[in-house]
Amino acid sequence: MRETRIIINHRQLSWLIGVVLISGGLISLPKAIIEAAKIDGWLSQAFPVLYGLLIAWLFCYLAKKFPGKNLFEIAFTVGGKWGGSLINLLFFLHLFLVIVRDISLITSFLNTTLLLRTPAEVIGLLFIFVAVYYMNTSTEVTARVNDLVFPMLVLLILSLPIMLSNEFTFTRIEPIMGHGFAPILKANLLAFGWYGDVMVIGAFLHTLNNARQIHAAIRHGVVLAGLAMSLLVFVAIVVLGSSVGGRLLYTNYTLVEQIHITDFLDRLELLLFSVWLPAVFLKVIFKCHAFLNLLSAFQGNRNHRLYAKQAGWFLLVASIASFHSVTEVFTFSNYGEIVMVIALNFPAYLALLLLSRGKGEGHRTDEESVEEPEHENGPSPKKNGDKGNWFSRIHLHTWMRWTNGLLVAGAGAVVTGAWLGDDFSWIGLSAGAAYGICLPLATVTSFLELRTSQRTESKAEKQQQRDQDHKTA
Amino acid sequence: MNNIFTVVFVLSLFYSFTVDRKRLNKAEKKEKGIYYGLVAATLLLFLSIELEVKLPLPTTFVIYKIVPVLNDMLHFY
Repeated sequence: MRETRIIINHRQLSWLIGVVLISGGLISLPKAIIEAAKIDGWLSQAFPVLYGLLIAWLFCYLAKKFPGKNLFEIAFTVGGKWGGSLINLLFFLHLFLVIVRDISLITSFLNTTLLLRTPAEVIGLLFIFVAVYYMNTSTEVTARVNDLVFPMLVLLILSLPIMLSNEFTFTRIEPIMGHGFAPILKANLLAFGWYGDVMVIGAFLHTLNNARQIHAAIRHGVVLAGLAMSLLVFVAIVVLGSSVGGRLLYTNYTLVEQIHITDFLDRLELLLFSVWLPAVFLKVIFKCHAFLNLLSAFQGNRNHRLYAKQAGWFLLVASIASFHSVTEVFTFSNYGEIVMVIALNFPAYLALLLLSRGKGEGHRTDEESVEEPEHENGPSPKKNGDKGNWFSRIHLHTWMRWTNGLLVAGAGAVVTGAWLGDDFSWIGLSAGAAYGICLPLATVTSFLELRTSQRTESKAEKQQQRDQDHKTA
Repeated sequence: MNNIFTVVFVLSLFYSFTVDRKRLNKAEKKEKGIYYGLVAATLLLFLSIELEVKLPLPTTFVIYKIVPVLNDMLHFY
């Protein structure tokens, strides 16, 4: 049977996880977070990001042990036929629920805001036609389309504070962390449910040769998503206020409607939607690819083109049958996801971790042995196309420590603020400022991690080639 | 259920089945199993929608059984 070799680079993998996490939060999550945590909603990403980093480590660990395999194939390798099927059944259930949730969210959003007279199922059908088209191609194609959309999405989210600066009322977020642990805990739990989507990246572990790059890519994607989501919720609170923001069905939709640049540049939301909607579509399409990869793991090869169309029709009718109203979709997506992650993802990850100990099929490019000599002798900029910037002279591990340190410091600031901010408002303010500084800095250092991991690529590939040659000999 | 949806969906399903028939004959046993499994699940769900029969789906269980318990504990809304 023909094996399909799909290769995407570490940046594409990073943007893949970015679009999956950020687009998830564009439609329903801000409302639930603001409703639960009120003015402290913008601190909702402090702990879920750390969870994302933990999953990044797990995937890197598995990718190193089982080169060229995705998460579902690894499950079969470590768990055998029955154990692997059981683990993959948990992944299947989660992925299936996540996809039907996303399709329903998109159709209900379009049906409520833009295409009021079009029946929701027809919107779903039109969406699935697009999805099936992409499902018949490979992940590479979707990743390339994402290359066009994702930078614009990030740029738009980062420019939102500038475009809405005339609507800001900072007193709306005061007192910062003045209500104790409870609201912050709720907000973090809600966001944590959405970070369960990180599982999707496991379906694409085989697309990258270098485990260290996989690690850096997921880390950057997760931290970037944390920053983008924090920014969106922050802007929603300072523009709309926590009571209005928590009551609106589509907080972000109303938020972008508030953009009025001078008297003649309004209705900019239509321009923004031209970027947001493709991003949301791409998110579901990536998940559909993951779904196909999961199904193909059961058959033992990656040739899933035969049933790509049928999978599309199945997911469409499942999304229609699963939810009967917008309220149901919102309840499931915002509150049910926490349970999904704990009940379906945790046991599967734990089983994979325990079963993979002591097993392994060699090393996917042992980066340590490749990278260290290069570091000792200094980088070779010309050889790897690196321009020899200051950051390329710093070791990958150093950037990782910086990212981890900044994120832990941010989470620590949130804990301190929630603990003491109730009694001392200046502590809450300082802790909020510290979190607000740590998260963007961590995004920068995680980006530098991604850039530095690129340095190891060519040598790592050569090493892998040598390993393969050695095995063949 | 919207009539346009019903007609277009049935036609799409029929068309994809016709297109796939050639490749399906050459496919491996497991591949065929996945294919027919998906078709059977699709038809079951489609008929349940058309006949307005509510199937016990995991989403309903989560929404009406689990989320209320979770909300009683944490007071999200």
